[in-house]
Amino acid sequence: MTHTKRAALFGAVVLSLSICGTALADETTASFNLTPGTCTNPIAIPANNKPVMVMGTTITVSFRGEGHVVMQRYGSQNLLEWAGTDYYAGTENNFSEAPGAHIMWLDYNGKVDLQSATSSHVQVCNSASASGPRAGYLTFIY
Amino acid sequence: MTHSKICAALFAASLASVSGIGAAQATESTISYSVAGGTCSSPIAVPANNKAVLVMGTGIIWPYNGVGFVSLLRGNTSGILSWSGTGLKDGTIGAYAFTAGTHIMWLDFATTVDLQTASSTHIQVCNTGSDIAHAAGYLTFIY
Repeated sequence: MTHTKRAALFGAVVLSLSICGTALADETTASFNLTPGTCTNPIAIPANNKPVMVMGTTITVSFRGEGHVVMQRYGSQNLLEWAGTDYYAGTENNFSEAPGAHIMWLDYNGKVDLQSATSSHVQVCNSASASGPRAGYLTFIY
Repeated sequence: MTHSKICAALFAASLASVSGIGAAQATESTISYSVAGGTCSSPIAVPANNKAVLVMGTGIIWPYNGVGFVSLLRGNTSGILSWSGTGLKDGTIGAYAFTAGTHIMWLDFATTVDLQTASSTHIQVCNTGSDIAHAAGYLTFIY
């Protein structure tokens, strides 16, 4: 095979599968502490079109819980898609183009809700009617 | 046995049963794919043997976008791939395979873009239908 043909073959491989490189994973963590009936400010998904792991916890005693989803933010359509599992509901997989859609529960009894927010951000909402605030963390890995 | 000896023995036993390799940052690699209808990508190596590798994938061709992930094990001595996770179209996923061509998860909403096992316990992305002329997206490995 000539050098030119090898170059053409290499080009064909690059066309179908492009390795973006190996690096350390990026991680960001946000904390929340919500009184009943309130939501956090919208939280940005840190990458568009690429898969992002979102793990969340509630750490308030007696209401603790956890879950995780892999999420795609499709920026040009204001679309969020996700698939994962949480302690309260089990499998969570869906998509939404509107704010306020349930993504996963972060607590023991289905009150602390990770939701879609405006501009395909996410937010954490505490829908508990009483019994104090709910606190926890959201971690993004990508 | 004194209290201190009991504690030392318990600590030694815990070290024997759980070997902490140490805390470090996870390695990440991302691959983009672009696959015409009826074709597959080249085989993609799973970047670690015998350890759990998180594989997250997206399909980004509108309106067939999709997302999913699995924790994947490549057993290099047995020639097995096994995995479990969740996909937007698959729901809960869990299976294993010794051969190429086994479905792992859908990367799109039309169940056309298939992450599959490939030869030599690699994986591949196949565009199995005609809904999407040219499927594209990303695969991210974290381990």
